[in-house]
Amino acid sequence: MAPLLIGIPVLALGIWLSMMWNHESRIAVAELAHEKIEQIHELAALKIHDMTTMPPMICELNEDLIRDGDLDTSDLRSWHPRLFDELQAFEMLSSITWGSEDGRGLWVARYADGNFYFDLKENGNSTVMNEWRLNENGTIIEHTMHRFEWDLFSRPWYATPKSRGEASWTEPYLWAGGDQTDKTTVGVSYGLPLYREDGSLIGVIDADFQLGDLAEFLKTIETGRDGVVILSTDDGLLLAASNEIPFSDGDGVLQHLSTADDVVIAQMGVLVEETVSSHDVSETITIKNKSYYMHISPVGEEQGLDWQLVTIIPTNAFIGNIEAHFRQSMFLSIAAVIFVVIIASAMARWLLNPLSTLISKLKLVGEGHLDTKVQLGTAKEYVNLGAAINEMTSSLHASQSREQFLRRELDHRVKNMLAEILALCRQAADRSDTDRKLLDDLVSQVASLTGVHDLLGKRGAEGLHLRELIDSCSSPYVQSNSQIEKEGPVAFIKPNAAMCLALVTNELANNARKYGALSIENGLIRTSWSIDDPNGDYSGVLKWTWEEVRGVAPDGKYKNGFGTQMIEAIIPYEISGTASIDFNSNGLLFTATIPLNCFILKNEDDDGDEDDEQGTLIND
Amino acid sequence: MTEQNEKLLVVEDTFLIAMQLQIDLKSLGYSVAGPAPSVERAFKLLDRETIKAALLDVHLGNENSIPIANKLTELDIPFLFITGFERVQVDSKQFDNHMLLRKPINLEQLDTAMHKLLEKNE
Repeated sequence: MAPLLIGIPVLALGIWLSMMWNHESRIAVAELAHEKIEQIHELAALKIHDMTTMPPMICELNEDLIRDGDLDTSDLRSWHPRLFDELQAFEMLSSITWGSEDGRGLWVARYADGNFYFDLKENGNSTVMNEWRLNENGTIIEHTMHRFEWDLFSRPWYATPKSRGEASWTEPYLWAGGDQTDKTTVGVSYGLPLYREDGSLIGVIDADFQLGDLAEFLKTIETGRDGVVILSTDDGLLLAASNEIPFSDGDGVLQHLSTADDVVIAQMGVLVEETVSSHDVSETITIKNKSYYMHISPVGEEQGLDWQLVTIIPTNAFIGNIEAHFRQSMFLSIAAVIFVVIIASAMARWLLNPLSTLISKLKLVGEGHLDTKVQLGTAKEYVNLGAAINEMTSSLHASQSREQFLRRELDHRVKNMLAEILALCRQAADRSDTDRKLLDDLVSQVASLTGVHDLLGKRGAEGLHLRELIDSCSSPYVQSNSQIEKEGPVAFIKPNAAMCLALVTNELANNARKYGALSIENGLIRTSWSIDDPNGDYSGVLKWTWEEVRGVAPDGKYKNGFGTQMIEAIIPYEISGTASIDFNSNGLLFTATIPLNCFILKNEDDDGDEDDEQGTLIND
Repeated sequence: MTEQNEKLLVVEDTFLIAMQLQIDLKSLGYSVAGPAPSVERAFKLLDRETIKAALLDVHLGNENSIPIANKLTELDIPFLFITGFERVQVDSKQFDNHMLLRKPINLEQLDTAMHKLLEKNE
């Protein structure tokens, strides 16, 4: 029990500390998570800034080259080495394109297959575009030429700036480079219109970049297993993602986030559309019972782009470790408590075992087994305690043995003395001529006391049964036991009362022998006793009668002898009972009541068949 | 030699010994109250009779005669103790100056003791 009392508070403390720690950790982790997401955003925003400043820069550079005549708008075929160099210098650029207001156009592009291509349309009225692959030096490989339908005026990068009259970004579009259509990315173009001094349009110089590179970059950002960083337009079109979600719905149209199969991405799309803000939004959201940290921040504003960078990371990506630590610390707490309880139980047992042994041994000693030896544990204190108790019991044992020896010795001496007195009386009676009868009485009285003393010696503390006492005291005066009928329950008499009742019985039997029922041939005495204890608490009496059933009509001598007087006097005097002697025509009738406190209460342990749990003094 | 109504109190729980003491004291010319086998009966006799001296058996069954001795001291009645034991275990220091007769008591011992007891008091 005690170990549990210690263990439970320890367990509670352990759990409480773990929970506190867990709670603190969660707060710290949440802060860290937000910090980390903000870092991701800074990093991504920087990259996006770098990328989106590139097209305007290139366009302005080329504008200068055109105005200076380094790029001759009348000889488009001569442009490709220059543009090839630019494209090589700026890896993020996917193409540099020119469209003249008369319908001619050209570009140098880096396609998804990793090769550079040169496309040229020198005849503004033609609908056909010629395309060549360039080698690593930017030289046209003639045999790679092929043609396809192309119309300048329908191109968004041309149409948008032209219609707006200023440099513009196109809407993002699905961009499939060359004939390698299996690898598509999202492209964005920046078109810068060039005007003559009279305000008429010369053409549009355009720089494209494709967001495949950005997606690759986003993939390098550590966002945990289920985290995702997404770049989208402010109306939810997917531009780049750190995971492999498709950019297209399959019909050449850009994927809208809110229609994505992935519920988390779809939810992000909804949030992006709802968030009409140029501020950062940072919150914890729950999608399908799972908690996420989410951050939305606008990017590309400086370049006139309304893009949103969205990062979403499951909270358990950060808290997972904390949770694992928490579970571990809980487990450790419980394990520690169980360990403590086991150790403490063992300790308690180790401490208490000797006490249990001591108790059982002392019980044995208490029951009188003074030869019991106590052997407790091996600890010094227990050895000393055991030795002290052993010393005590052995000394008790010695004094008890000595006492028993002395009692036996005394008993022996008393018996011897009584025997000597008896002998003296007999010899005196033998020698006496005058008062022979008196001396005979004396002999019988002493003999009766001796007999009872003997029996008491044999019975010890157990007490002497009334029936035995009557048998013993009347035996010198009867020819056969059948002369006295005895009837009554077993009743054990205490030693002091036994001596008194022995004298009484002796007088009754002796008188009967001299004057009454035992003096005739077929005389009969009936003696019976019964318990009268109305309250059942041993406050009652034992009623005893001694009746001469077949006797002789009594004479005066019988009635007034010393014996009858003594009988009536000794019972009230010594044992607070009552006694009376009457005579009828059959002879003597003796009745007595003896308090039950003159009898020994027998406990259940001592006798077999008891019906009273407190004990009883009778036993049939 | 003493006033007729003044008696000796005998307290002794064994009937035959009490009888013998009574007989012996009578034969020595004393009048005897009791005998009493217990403290309770002794107190009753003290109330009822005029007692000039007492003989107390120390052990009375399950009790002892110390309460009687205390009462007698209070009433300024002389008394002596009787015992069958070699040593008396009761706390009797306060009664150290009282005579102690050991059983069995013969007539001469009793006579001497009674003289001494009554003289001392007179």
